[in-house]
Amino acid sequence: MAITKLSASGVVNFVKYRSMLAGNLPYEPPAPSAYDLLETEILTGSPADIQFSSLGAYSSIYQHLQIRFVIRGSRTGNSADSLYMRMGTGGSVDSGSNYAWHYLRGNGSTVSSSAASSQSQMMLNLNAAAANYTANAYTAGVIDLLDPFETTKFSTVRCLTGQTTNENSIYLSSGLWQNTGSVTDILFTHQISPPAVGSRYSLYGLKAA
Amino acid sequence: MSPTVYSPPVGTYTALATTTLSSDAASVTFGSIPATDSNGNTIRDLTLIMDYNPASAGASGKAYINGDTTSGNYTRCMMKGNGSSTSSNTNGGSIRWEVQTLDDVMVQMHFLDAKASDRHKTVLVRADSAADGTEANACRWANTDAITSITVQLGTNLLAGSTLSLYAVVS
Repeated sequence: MAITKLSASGVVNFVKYRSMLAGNLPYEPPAPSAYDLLETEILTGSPADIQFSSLGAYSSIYQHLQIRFVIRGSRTGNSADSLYMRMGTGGSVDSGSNYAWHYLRGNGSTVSSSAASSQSQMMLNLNAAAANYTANAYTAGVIDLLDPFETTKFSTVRCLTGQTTNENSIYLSSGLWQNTGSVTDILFTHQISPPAVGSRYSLYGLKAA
Repeated sequence: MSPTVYSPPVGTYTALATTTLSSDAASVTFGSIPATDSNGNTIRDLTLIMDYNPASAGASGKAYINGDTTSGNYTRCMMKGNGSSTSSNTNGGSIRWEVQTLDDVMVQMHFLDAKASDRHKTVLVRADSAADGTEANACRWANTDAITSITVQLGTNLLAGSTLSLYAVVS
């Protein structure tokens, strides 16, 4: 082992610090996130619906909500299934004729648009992948719910969703719930058959300043 | 069925990487995309946001996953409006968008269930240019592997100053 003279070692070549940080930068915790994961459901069965409830707990913290979904239907016919969405306030889902929707759709050859009002739900996608469609292929989408907790305006949502399986589709959808209540519940159903095992619905919150 | 509630909520949409090109580039690759974000949470989705100028017009955008450039592994459905007409097609071969202009192009890509290993990857793409229109795409990579790299290329160079940012979303 080499012998080092003490006069050349760090014991002698020291630096004096007036701070306990000894020249290190102070620890600064990361800025709090403005976008939080709140809830997730990854289906292990095929329930008739998926419901996010008690959302009032988020109303003082979050300004907007986002839902990201990846779904397949359990329908085994030759046609895809539609994805419906309802909302509610005060702890109950509104199934009245208080919804409207529009969509712009491309199917691989043409672009079309449709709308409906006085509906009992929003229709976000006509073509959720069916059980007999390409294996392992899912319909995906991102829904933005703007100001769902404001009590001076109806709730409006927008959705980007699509798939390329047995049917091709890309949708830009919008939905309106004609109620000024602070949203406490969001309910998803399929038109014909329940969503399949493995379908995923995740709820996120975007904080208010 | 009631979802799992996270209490406290889990902070997400964390930045994984940002590139501002200092010189023109034929392609940009985000490689070694981790399984967890900087907080140690398991990543589920990826979102890529790009703001670029191409070196020449007529260059549609393409993206490839995990270095797979096999045309048959990618399917796609698009729709586009340019102010005077609409169009829709299924021209695939890659994750793709067709906005073609020398002007600024903005693209947002959602890779849903990017880190899942039991399903094909559905990618939703929005592409916009004030000069060439607005567009939406659904794309599918017919592979169940988790996404570990994403390569973006135009068929022409991305000009210096272009920015590309990749974010992680947990679920």
